[in-house]
Amino acid sequence: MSAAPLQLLVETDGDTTWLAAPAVGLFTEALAAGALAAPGSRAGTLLRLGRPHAVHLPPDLGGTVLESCPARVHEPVGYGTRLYRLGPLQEGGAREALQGGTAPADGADAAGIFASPQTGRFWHRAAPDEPPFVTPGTVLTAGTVVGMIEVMKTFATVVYAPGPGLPARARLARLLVGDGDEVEAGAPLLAVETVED
Amino acid sequence: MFRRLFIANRGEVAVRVARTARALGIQTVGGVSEADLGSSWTRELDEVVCLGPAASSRSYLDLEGLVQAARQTGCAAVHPGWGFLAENARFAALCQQHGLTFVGPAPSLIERMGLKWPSKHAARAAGLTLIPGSEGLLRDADEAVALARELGWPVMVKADAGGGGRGMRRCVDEASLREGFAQASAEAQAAFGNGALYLERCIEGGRHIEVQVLGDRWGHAVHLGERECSIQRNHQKLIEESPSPALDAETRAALGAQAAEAARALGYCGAGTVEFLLDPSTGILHFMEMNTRLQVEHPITEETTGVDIVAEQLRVAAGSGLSLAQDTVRQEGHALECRINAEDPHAGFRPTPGTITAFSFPTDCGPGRVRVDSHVSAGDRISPHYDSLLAKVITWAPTRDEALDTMRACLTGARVEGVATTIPLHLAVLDSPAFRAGEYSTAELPGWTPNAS
Repeated sequence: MSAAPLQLLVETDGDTTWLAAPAVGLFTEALAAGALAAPGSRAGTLLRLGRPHAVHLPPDLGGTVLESCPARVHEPVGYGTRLYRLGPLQEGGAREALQGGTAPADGADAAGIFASPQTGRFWHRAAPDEPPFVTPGTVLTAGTVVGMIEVMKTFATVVYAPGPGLPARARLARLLVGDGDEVEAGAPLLAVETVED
Repeated sequence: MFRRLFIANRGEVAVRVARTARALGIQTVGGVSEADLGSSWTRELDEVVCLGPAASSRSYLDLEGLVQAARQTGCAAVHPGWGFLAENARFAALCQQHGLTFVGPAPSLIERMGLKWPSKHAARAAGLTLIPGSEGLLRDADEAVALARELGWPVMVKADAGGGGRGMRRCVDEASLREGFAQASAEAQAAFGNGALYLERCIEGGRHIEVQVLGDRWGHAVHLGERECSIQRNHQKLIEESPSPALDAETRAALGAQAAEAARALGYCGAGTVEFLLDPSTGILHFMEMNTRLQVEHPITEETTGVDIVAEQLRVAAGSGLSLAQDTVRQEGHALECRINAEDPHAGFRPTPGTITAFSFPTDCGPGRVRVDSHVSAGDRISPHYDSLLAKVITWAPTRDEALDTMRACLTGARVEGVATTIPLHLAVLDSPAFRAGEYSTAELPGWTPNAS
């Protein structure tokens, strides 16, 4: 009867790590304060429309439960409701893994950074089953379509435009945001290198 | 009446439903996405549950999550608003199955009216006039061509599961019909997973006129008069008015009675809208479709009739009868609505998300009264995730000219800063002689010449 397992959301706030509910539901069979939570282990059950969904830790994060949710049985929770405060991370690389979303100092070896013209959702491809507009190595010139940006359900193409720090002929070094990621206007989208003629 | 109501929607409609619920002494719980958590409009709700991330598919369109959220917060009923799941029969059925009252008609009726051809069939059985066209769905392009020759050119091919102008082609001759048939079918297959098409004679310069109906489970149905929504851009309504300047009193009364009778014949419970297309060359009002939900432009009907449509929705959903009978409904004066969107009309209607730094509309201007339905206030960040509606400005006055003057005065005095809005477009249309004279259609925007962006 149990349905697809769910994975706890991770939030870090300074040195504190929180694990939060991944969906709306009644949270039950919670771990008690003091329990050890191994990476990927089960940490409770979320009931949704009467069906139990096993809830697990992320595969790369474990620790000691410092604080558990107040009622450990049938607690109504929403998406993002904090369920556990996790103690010192036991896995060496876990903290780094947690922060894996922030791009390392890209651009260090690149000639320039092409920034997002708008705030919205950036897409690498025109449709899920189509190839990306550009991949690392693609040569970009003025007008090359590099992706689409979705703003309020409206899609617009994003085109490469040379400018200060951006060469007229550039080679894409790497895409700095994932397919479908949210971007702010002015946020780095592409790292590019100059193409030597 | 319900003690607690779950609002499965966001923004302006969530605020609108909460306002009436509060007046009726009903507590409100809103299911919102992570992106909306903490937005100023959520303060209008008594309780908020976070459903999921910003993407609608994981929040406002997550059927299971919404029903679970309504259940665990002790709600007895779910109001779907408009858009999102408002016309989703599966959602209505899932609510019922889990003991929640869905504020809207029965799932089977939503399903039937949601597909174009079954809804036309039902409408014809209920006595409405259809646009001349195919009897059911088309088998192939040959059948379409034969039928078009009989009806006369131009014709429209439309997708059975269509909406928002997709899966639709206007064809002027055999070659364009064969091409349009293939394109529309492929487009509908891709967009709706259903490539079935039907064909209709194309009505040029038609006017979009719709009738608000209300029904209860005791077999009563009334109409609250019509709204004209011909001022559109890309099939999106921009300005609506009630009554329509295109109808005389006799036609108006007959159309209303016809729509109410159709609602009664369908066994319709809740608020709904029957949409018609007025053919200017014949004066015939043809049934287009029925929307089984509250409509964005419902306030103009509320202003001319004094009926709180959301209150009636909640009342009939709770099992009571309608609080009004047809002979107590009075359609008085004239109301206009302008939908103010965060789009730049001078730059190809590009959406303009951003932070609103000033947001005010004068309400003491002109001869009539002003109502502003909005979820936005100064300091808010307009999210790029959802639609671009900022506010609906509604004016009412005893005459159409006065309602128009009031709207002009209000929009001229409006202060919206931080994002571009469609106010310049509205003012251009309001100032056009054609709109002032009430002579316009869905074919063009009077007074507006799109300049190069």
